[in-house]
Amino acid sequence: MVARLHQDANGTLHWLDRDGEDHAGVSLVRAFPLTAPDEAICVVGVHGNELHEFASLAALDDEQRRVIASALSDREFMPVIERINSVSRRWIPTVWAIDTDHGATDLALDSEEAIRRIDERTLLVRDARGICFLIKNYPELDRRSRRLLERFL
Amino acid sequence: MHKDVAASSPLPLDAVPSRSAPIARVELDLDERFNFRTSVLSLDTAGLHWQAAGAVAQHWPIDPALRLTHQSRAGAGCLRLEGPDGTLALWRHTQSVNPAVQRLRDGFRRLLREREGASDSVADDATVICPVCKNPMPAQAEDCPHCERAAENPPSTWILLRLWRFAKPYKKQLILGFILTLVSTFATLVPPYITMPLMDKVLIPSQRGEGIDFAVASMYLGALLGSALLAWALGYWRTYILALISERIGADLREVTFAHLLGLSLEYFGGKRTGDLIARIGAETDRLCVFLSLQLLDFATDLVMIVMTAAILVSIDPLLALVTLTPLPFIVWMAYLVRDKLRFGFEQINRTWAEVTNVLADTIPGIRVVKAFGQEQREIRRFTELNQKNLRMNDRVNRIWALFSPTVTLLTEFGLLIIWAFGIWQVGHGRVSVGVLSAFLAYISRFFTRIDSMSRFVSFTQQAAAGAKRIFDVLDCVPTVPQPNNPQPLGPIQGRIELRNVSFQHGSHTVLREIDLTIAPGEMIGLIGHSGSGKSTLANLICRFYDVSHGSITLDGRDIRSIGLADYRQHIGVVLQEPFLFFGTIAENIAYGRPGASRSEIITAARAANAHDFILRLPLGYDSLVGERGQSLSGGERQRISIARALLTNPSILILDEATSAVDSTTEKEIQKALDRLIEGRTTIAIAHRLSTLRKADRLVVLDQGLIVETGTHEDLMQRHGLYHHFYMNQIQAEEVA
Ligand SMILES: Nc1ncnc2c1ncn2[C@@H]1O[C@H](COP(=O)(O)OP(=O)(O)O)[C@@H](O)[C@H]1O
Ligand SMILES: [Mg+2]
Repeated sequence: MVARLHQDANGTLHWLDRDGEDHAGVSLVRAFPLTAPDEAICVVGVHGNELHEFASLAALDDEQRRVIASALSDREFMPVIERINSVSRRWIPTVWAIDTDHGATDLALDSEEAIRRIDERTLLVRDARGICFLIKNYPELDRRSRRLLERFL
Repeated sequence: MHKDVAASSPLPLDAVPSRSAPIARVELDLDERFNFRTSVLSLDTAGLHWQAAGAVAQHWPIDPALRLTHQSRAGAGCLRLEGPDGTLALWRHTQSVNPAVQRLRDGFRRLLREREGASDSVADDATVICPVCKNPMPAQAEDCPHCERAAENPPSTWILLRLWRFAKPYKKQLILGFILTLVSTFATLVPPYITMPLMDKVLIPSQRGEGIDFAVASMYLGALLGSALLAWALGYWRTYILALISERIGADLREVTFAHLLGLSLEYFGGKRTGDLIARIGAETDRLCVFLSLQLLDFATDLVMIVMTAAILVSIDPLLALVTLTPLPFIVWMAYLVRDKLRFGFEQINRTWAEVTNVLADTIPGIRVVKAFGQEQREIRRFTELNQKNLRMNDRVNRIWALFSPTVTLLTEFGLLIIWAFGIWQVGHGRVSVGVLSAFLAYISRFFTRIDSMSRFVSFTQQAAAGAKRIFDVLDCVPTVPQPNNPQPLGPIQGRIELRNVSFQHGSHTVLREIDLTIAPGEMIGLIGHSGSGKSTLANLICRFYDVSHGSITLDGRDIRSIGLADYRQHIGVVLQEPFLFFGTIAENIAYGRPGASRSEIITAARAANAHDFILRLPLGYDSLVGERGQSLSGGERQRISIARALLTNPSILILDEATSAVDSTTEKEIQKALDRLIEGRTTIAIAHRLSTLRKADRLVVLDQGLIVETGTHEDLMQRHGLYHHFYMNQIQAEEVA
């Protein structure tokens, strides 16, 4: 029996384990959402107990990968900042007008700890509403965005 | 005094057996009623001798029926000689002679053993440990050489010379900087010199109606411009180079101090305040850096300038120069006067500043306690008081300082007055030209502004010396747990730990006595005892956070003092009652002991520590920040992370010091599962209050007041109806009540 993840017609996620037992209502959690999003994706049961770990996506077939991608996109919301159009002020607190992969929005920044450096290229910005925005490849942003951003680093 | 007493002694000389060389000699400084009176107690092969001023000398021969015991409490020690019928004599003394007293007691016991025929004197007794710095001392030395060295260093300005050690790597740049200083200073001295011919050859002849020689005038003006530009360029180069160097020296100083600090033993940190150390490494090094980059530089320039100016003045007109320089000795004398006052003041300011930092370092981590007990106002008051004290200290220094600077200015004004008066008189008699006088005046105004700024240097040096002293205090401290020289690498180990006749003292307080314990590889030992019985201390000794005072601890037969510290500790995993998490992500905290661990290893360790599920529940999983000291996690969660941390290093020896005492019993069960997995196959020493935690232990060891009183399995100890039985029954009752 091969263990499998599948989504039923209502969109509920099921984990069918090796013993043929069906766990309904499971969810997918990335263990390292920032530093290694595609490694260690865990299947977690309704009680928060881990049922399985996908160590890497590469070993899976396309169908499984599709299910995982759709399940994750249902529960994850971490917009990626693509452009900073303007900042209301050059010091905190400030409001940035930004373009993200989820569309344009305003980001209110209210503390210096809100910007967190994940690694050389990645920044995480938590706005006053609690939404986490990601800046990937920060050195490759356009010049204007980078200049605006640098004042806050 | 010794002789007087002997002379007035009514005892016939032959009553005292002929004396051999003393084995130990103590100058006792208290009498029986704790009054400060000196007397001498000495030991030789014939026995004990005691002599006090104005009293009869007494003697006790070595006799197996005698016992000599030593206790110390509240700063005073007491040596008691007991015979079969009770106390024969009692000698009190202060801590200052403690080492000598201990040497005497040990010598007495050795003599007794020899007398009894047991010549297997324990070698450990011969090595004496300094009670202050815990370094072993030469057997016959009265004072510890380590401590003496520290006492020999009174704070002084010369301490700044020790900064040379940090300046040495930059010697070449420093020499270049100094040459630049010389040249650029010289360039600034050219313009006043040119005023002389400008006056005498251009202006004065023109006044006499001879007309102005524009060619000569423009040559001199060109020279003025040129020297100004040269001085500017060289000054810029010099300032830049020297500022670069001094920043580097400051950075080196900071790094070296921090590295040295982390190398110091746990004992050092026990006696220090966090804020004080932060102030030393942060503010003090920074102040030294400013001193080196700005103030010392200015001072050097001033000095060069003054010497050069003086030389130029003398070369132009020696008599006028002599008169010009009269105020100088007064200024030097004044600087000398205020120097000590200033340094003392600055040292106090530094200390107060450290205290202010201490309040911050206390209050901010303890904010929950502060708020829970509503003590915000008190902490604010504490802070305000210290801040005000800081202010007062500064005021005091400024009072001296404020007077000093204007006085120097006043003296320089006097100097100018003297030159004007003397100069006019000289010009009137035709002995000097107007040009020479004007050159003198131009030089002298520069000269005195330099002296003014140089006198400010007095204050800066004292400030820097005070800072340097506090930094070298740290750097001069030697770790009390020393690294062995050229240790053999440890290699793979089995994990057999043997403690032989181990005793340990904190200062004069004996915490552990005569501990003998052998722990087999893979065995789990449960340590039980009242709070304060020395369980944690025993664990700390095994970790080699401290060194034993007597006896030895061996790992696989090798004394742990002969193993490199890092090499040794790499095999030890520790889980403490209060797990400490660093600012960083969960993954980083788990991998703290093995920064190179892969993600899957981290997950495996977390799973084994029962931490994986709750970590997945956090919004960013293993990438979540735990906050400073792990504030954002519960006690049980923090504990499980610290267990995962210990698991990941895969240690052969595991120490659990009340790992589950801080959590409720449900959480304890969770952690217990994790611990059981951790313990498997490792030599384990577990300390616990709840005896149920130790049900897996192979052997239980019961400590009472620093002694092992019982050893055995749970069943053995229950049958013995001793201390363990008592503990167990108490707990059963407590659980029934709950
Ligand atoms: N750093 C120290 N300086 C002086 N005394 C200490 C120090 N640490 C512990 N002690 C003393 O040593 C004794 C044993 O302490 P400890 O080993 O922590 O006991 P426990 O069995 O509760 O773990 C206590 O009396 C304690 O006061
Ligand atoms: Mg303890």
